[in-house]
Amino acid sequence: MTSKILQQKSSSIINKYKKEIDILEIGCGDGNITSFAINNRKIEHNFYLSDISISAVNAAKKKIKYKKCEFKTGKWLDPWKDKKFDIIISDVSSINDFIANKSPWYKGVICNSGVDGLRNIEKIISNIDINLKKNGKFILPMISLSDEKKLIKLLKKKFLNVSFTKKIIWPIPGFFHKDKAKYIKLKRDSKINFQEKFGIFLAYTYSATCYGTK
Amino acid sequence: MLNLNKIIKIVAKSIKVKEKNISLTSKIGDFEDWDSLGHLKILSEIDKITKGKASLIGNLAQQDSVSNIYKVLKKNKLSK
Repeated sequence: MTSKILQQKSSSIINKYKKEIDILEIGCGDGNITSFAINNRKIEHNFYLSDISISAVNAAKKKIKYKKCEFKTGKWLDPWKDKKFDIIISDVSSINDFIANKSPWYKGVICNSGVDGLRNIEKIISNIDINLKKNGKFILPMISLSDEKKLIKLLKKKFLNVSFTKKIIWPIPGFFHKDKAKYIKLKRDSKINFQEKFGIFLAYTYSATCYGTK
Repeated sequence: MLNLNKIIKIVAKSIKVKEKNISLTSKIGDFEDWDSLGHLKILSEIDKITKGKASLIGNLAQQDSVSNIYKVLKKNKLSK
């Protein structure tokens, strides 16, 4: 769900540019967001992808055969120290790490995102100026399985302009039922948010687009 | 109150198929848009019509066909 939302949003923003630009995807996994953007592009652009996992980067290399693509391995923005981008897309793990580890979404992937799910994204936001061009855009997912209010505060503190897409509600897979009591406590502590309806648990996802760092 | 015809209408609208293609035996996976998100759309629409009562049914999400949804709603007195 999160990837799909980021695919649509990133692609629509990329396609507004009439000139060639540089686009970075961090936490690229198998490269599905960049791959979607490449397949739906209107003009040629330069794409850059990185992930902390070597096997993820290899999977992305296998998936994307576009010429103007560069791949690197490393965490957060670290592999791109000397480069500035017009668009940075983050698909770095940003949900509570207990949930991340229990879920089927991050199998074999290092999350270490903390109890609020924001440990990685906080680091990225604090260093984004190094890699984002003056009028560059930062696109990231907002997931209710993290401390959404804290993330909104962080974004509004860092950027002059922050906009959000519509929330998409989705059913959390069955693994969630097992540790229900723990998740209810996390919800009570405002670390995550979800609803229980129809006998299942529901979360929501949307995306944020930010520009103009303060 | 809901009835079988209304449920079929809701299912058809939620998963964007023609009503004539939906029957009592239609189930998750029969149509492209009747996946877990489509299923949630159906249930949310039923919940709107029942003014929040359907969301309190603990096993409604597990009902994977028109027939089963109808039976559970009927059992819970939300359909006739």
